Amino acid sequence: MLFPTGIFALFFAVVFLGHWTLVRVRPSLDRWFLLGANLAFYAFWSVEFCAALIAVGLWTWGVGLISAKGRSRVALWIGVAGTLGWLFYFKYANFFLQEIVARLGFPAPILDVVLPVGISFYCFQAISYMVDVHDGDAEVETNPLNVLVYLTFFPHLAAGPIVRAAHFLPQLRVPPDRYRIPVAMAGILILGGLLKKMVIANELATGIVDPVFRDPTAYGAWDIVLACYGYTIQIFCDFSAYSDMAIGFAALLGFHFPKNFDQPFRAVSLSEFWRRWHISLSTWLRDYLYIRTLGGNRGSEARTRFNLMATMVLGGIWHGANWTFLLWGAIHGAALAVERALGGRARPVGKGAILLRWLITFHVVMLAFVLFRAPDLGTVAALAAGLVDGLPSEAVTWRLAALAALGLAIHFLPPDLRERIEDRLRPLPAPVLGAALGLALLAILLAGPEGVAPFIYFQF
Amino acid sequence: MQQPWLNPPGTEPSRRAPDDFSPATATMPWRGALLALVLVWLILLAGRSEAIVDAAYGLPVLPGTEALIAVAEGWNDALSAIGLPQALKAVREVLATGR
Repeated sequence: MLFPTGIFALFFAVVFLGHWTLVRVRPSLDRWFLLGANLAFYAFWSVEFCAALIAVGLWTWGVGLISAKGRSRVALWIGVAGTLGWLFYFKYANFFLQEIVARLGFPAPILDVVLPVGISFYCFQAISYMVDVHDGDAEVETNPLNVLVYLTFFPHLAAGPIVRAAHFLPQLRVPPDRYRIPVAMAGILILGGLLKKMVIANELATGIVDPVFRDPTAYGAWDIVLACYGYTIQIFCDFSAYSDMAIGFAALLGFHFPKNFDQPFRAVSLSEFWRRWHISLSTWLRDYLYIRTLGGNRGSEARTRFNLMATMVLGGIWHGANWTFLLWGAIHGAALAVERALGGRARPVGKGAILLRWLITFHVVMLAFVLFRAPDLGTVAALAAGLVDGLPSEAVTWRLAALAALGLAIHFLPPDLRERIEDRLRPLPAPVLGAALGLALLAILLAGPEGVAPFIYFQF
Repeated sequence: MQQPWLNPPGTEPSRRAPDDFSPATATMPWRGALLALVLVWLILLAGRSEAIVDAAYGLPVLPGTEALIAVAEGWNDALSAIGLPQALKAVREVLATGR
């Protein structure tokens, strides 16, 4: 079930009414209702995987109980290994069989493995819960229902953001305040997300990115250039849209998720980019992989650079078993290490220096995204060859170029723009606010192409 | 509270991280929220009446499907009589300029 669809609008209407009614009349039943809603949301993709989702939730809860406050490190390791094993089976079983077992000369059947939607996100949350409870950074949860609602909560289930237990579980322990719902800000986030997804991301995808990456040899240099820039804008508008909408829908139900994207393309260094891009994953990788597992920057400078590279390469491979993802991570790891060596994390002084650093940062990110999007290295080579083969560029239109420019321009709007819009909406009575949000929603739906493409990060 | 909008004005954020929500975020009671969302849904129902008919045609054949299709068609016919779908179609064509 995708957010920008009629069936989700119907689903959310039922959940909104049921949730707030239960908060008012029978708060003890509300978490059961939310769990049912979460599973119904997930069942639209796969009924079978709902059982697996519950199993992972109960596993997480049980490991948390056994290992809480440093009681059992062995239980924690078994818990984390079991969760990672579950994730690895779905993501890498076939790659392992075909690329390693088969090459060693052993029989290697191709498994019919379907990747469950959102598996990475709920597994990462499960791991963070187990580790945080063991280390005393989060309270152990004795009620399995709360852990299940936390892991399966439908706004973040399919593509994040990754919400930490210490942030979410306290919100479940007390009923949300039915007298204070942040409707205007939630509406701004949802509409902003819809605008990015429906108008910018979908049109860039269908108009230039997908056709060019499918067959680069049929396109001219300017088509390829726009497709490469366009994908960078598309993936931001697609992924940040999902996060914004997830945050907005959660807020309408009285729950808070942290911000996941903070105008990432205005960064003037790679380290700043990663503080602004997919914040919940980059902080997850920093806390659980870079610092806890690899030791962070507590060792020698060489060791720190290795840790940076290892974190980014593993972050790349997490996206899938493909050389292109590995190289995407390696480019970011190498760039971060070079930046650290050159002292590039300090903010540049002077407009010229800022512009130069912004150009370098943006283009490293953009070129790495070309690898990320390409299905294989042959496609990357074909894209590079297409830049000089002299074919006419017939797919570029002013509309597509303007959409790409718009997707970049929104990074340079005032960071507090949403608060400013909210201030304008604040005096409106509820019916007028509803009408304003409804008309804006309709305008966005009219401006975008018909149909809704799945969100890019559903595949991870 | 973890929800910034539930904290008293002036409360320092617990996490030094960017956030769209703050103690100054405007809130309303659930009845007001419900009223606002009902209006959003009504506007959607009016603006997407043709898509609703298409969705109804795609429903599996079950008891009640015929009635749903009839309601969707009736709703769309009523709106067509006042020219709303046609007007929105014209707006969509204008917005599709250059596509």
